[in-house]
Amino acid sequence: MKKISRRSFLKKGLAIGAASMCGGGILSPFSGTARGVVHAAKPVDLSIVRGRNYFKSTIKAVEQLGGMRKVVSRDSRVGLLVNSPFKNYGAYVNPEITLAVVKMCFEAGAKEIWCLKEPSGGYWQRSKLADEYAEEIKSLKEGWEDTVDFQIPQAVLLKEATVRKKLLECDLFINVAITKNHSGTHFSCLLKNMMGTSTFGTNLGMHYGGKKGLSWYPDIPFLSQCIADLNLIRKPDLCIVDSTEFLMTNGPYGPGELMKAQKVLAGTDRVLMDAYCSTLLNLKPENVVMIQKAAAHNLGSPDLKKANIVEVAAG
Amino acid sequence: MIKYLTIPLSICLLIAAALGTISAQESKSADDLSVYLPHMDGLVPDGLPQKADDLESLFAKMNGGAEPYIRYGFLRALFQTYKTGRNRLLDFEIFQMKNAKAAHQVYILMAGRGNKKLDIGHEAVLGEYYLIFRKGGFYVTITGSDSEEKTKDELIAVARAVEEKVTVNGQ
Repeated sequence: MKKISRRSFLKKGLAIGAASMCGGGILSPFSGTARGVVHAAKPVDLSIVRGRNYFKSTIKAVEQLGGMRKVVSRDSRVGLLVNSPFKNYGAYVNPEITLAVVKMCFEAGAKEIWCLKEPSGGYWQRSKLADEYAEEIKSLKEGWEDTVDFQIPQAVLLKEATVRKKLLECDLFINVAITKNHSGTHFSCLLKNMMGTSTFGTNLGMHYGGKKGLSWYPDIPFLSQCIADLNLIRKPDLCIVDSTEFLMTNGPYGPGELMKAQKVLAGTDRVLMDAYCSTLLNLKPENVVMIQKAAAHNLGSPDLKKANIVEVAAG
Repeated sequence: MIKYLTIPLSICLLIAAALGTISAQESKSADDLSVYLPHMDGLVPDGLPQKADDLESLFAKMNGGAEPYIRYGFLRALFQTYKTGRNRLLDFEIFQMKNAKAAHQVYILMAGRGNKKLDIGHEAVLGEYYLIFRKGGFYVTITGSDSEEKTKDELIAVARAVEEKVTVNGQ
């Protein structure tokens, strides 16, 4: 695994951290008003599509935000983070949702798509569309090998993390997560999925850096703060959430009992989306520590009442 | 002289060889969980089995899902994905815990309340798309990729095939 020096990225880290605090994506041509939502009257903060065809639901969810061309420009390099390392049903993003994202990115003119996390063996085979989109799958590039040490000056606890280099190099970043139960934090979605961009060593420190204990989760507030800090590194240009069929118990690995909400979500505010998805697990956003910590970092708003949430059936 | 020693020596060698074989088998069953992998018609391994025999490899494999196994006492695990005759994926996982109590604790945690109980091993349940059972200090998870009845039949058939291989004393 290649690493580049911490020093060489220190300046960049400071700049990126500042950009993140201001709500802008790094190295992205879609900072500020160009990115996100385009509906004429009132911008859609959260697009939700219900239906059993998850591929179509994903496309429709993104279209409600204004379409992938609002996010992906021609010849851009996309960093794609998908919760795909797990094998048990309801623990990983349905590959049909990922395939829909990949298809839309290429159609919008993406030059390259880098997977920021290695999928589990057989991940794509778990979709009936794998053969139809074999070319697209084959063209995906491995973006998980090289890592870099990264300073996070605005962090409360996680002042430094080792993350995938491609996370910092890509022109735009798409976070694709699944809503699910989690035995430690009780909830996993977009914010937690960001741990897919950091190395095992960094994640180990997030788990064990707080109060000492024999458990993998000795200090949930510590872990939650670290997750919020990690999310300072880069704001996603687009977030997709699989809330179709997901673990209600035995998360994050499973197998366990499933909730079948049949929803695909698209948006750009990861805090808002996590807040909404926590309710699908019968949790209150104000009780999910990582959501509150992320809101305190101004990474988004968990206020569902103020958000313009548009939910439709796939049709 | 040599003539008189040939028969006793041969017997000794045979006994030694037999003991060696038994010892090797015991060693294999204790250290290598691959002896419990199911071999059935229509079930084709998809890739190589993956071992986890320490905490780091278990975390690398299961992420936060490793926590309860470590909490209760984990020795080793083996993971293998199969393709079924219907070209579906089926995931097999076997965990050897430090004793039957540890395996039972994991089982209780994972079994869920509403699942159908089955007469496999010392305790077993069939979930919507998965089957878990515990026999002695072994905890087994078999997961399908959908909730079709045929998938459930496959899960049960695999579980029964594995259960036969797991011989333990007591519960």
